[in-house]
Amino acid sequence: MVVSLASISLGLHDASVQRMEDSPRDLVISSLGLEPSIENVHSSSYALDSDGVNFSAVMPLLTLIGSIVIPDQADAVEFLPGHPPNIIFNMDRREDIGVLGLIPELANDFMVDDSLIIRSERLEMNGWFEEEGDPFHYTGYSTDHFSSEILIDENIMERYSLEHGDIVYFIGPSGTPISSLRISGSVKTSLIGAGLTQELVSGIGILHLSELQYLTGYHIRSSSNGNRTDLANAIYIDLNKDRNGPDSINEVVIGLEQQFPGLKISSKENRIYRLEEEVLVLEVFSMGVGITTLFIGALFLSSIMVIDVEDRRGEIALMRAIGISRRTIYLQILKDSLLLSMLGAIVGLIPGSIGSGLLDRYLRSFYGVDMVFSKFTPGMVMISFLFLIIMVVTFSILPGIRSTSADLQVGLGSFNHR
Amino acid sequence: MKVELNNISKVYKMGDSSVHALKGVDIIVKSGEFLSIMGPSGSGKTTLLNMIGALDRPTSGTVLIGGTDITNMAESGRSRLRLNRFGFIFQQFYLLPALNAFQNVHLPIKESRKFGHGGRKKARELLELVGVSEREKHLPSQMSGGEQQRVAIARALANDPPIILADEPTGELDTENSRHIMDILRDLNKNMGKTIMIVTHDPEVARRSKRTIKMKDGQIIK
Repeated sequence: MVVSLASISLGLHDASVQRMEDSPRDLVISSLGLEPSIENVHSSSYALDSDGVNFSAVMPLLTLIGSIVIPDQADAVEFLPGHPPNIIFNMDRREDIGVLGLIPELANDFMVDDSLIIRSERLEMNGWFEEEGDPFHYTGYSTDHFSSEILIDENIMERYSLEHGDIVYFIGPSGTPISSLRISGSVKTSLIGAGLTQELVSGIGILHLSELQYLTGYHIRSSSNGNRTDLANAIYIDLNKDRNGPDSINEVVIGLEQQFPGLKISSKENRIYRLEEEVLVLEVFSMGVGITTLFIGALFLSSIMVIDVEDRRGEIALMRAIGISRRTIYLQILKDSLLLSMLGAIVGLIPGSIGSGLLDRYLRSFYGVDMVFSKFTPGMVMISFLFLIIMVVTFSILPGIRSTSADLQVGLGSFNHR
Repeated sequence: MKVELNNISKVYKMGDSSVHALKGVDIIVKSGEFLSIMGPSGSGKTTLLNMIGALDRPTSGTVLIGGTDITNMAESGRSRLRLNRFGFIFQQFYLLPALNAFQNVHLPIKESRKFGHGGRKKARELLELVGVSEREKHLPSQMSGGEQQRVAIARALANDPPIILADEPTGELDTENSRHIMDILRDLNKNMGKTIMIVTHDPEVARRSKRTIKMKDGQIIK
């Protein structure tokens, strides 16, 4: 159990930090709450992208939970926003999905080996947007330039036997389909497991940023002075390599805080620190349970040794009678304790490693991410063994003292001839 | 090695009452003596032997072994004395049941480190001396009473002690085995010069010793 919990603790820590470090982004500008609150995200992103000094890549991102209806492809029709067809939609084939809106052209910079890296999560892409820019935005939201493209989670593709080029309907705030979308690619992600994420959504979908904004109401908003506003949740920024030092990052962060008041600017270090804090709670918990278990085990072992010593009182008295020193007798008891506990520890390693694996599977399922939560290393096993030895030595002192302090005559009188 | 007990008394507290196991016993045993101690049960024979063998401490009086007063000696010193100066033989053999004959004999040799690398050889020689070398791999439970007592004698001789203390060594044995054990003890005394002190009920055993003392109610009466 100790080994299982220690492996989970170690695995959690390493996996979390590793995933953060693998992430290509160095800074994230994000809303403080769940509601998208970064205004003028298109222009801001392009302004940052054209900076040329600090940033090598910029990607605005709108994330929210949306819904789609999957029609029977034989009866599927295509229609643009604002032009609903006169058909009856089969709402039984509705799926709630996590929707990401992005600008493909900018997202390309965050692609690694055909995978898009978002929030340390690797999204494997099979197919991509045909239209890589965001013309719907640049042409003043004219539906003539509405691409209707969507990338759909492979889980949903498989469930409904969908293929590239098939049609799905996007459901708007009114609860009815407001636009058809054509599948231009699929996404494989580990985000959707059997845990919390799956309770909320059954997959993910990726749209053009402006089209998602338009379909969900986060597009142009008229303010009193007539300015147009488009909203998103986050802007991911990859810093130029020569601006990646701690001093430079601080300088950039201060600049961004002035430029985006009321938003959260977090660096990779911030995120690792925060993540480590969160993981630490779990680490402390698992180590606490582990140490408690070890203490109980040691007490149990001590009790066994006391009983054993009591049972061997006659033999110990005889050894003392023929001149065997207390030190030798105590060392013998210690050797017996160590042998017993080591045997238990070695035998315990098997269920320990199995338990570790099961916990790993459970945590992967619970969090719904493909992370190695449990790490079973020789070093960790060695530390557990070392701790066990210290405990055994400590807890065998009492039976040792008891055994060598008993009255010789009484002890010899209880000699048990086996 | 001379043994000298001066005015030894031993009182055991049993709740509110006291039992006087020894009452002012004086005795001198010269080096190389073969002494038997006789007396009825409860006369104080075993208590006397325990006082000599540093297994117990007197309530009053002094015990001198080779001129050294061991009465108030620290337990570690008494333990070394028992290891190197005394060999103990008990009525019920008291062999460690988990160890075989060889290991039982080798245990005190290993503890004393007296024979260095020759310890194992010494243990085998002793088993041969008492005639049970072929049983060295056997556990006590796999040996007869006579064989066990021979192994116990070999163990008593492990560190070549000058004094052998035997508490009714033939008490659990038949006549023939008793005679064999007594032959061994006699040889040890005669040929190796060991001081032998035997507590016994058996007049035949006592007859084979050179001197016999009789005890009654914690006192030497003869």
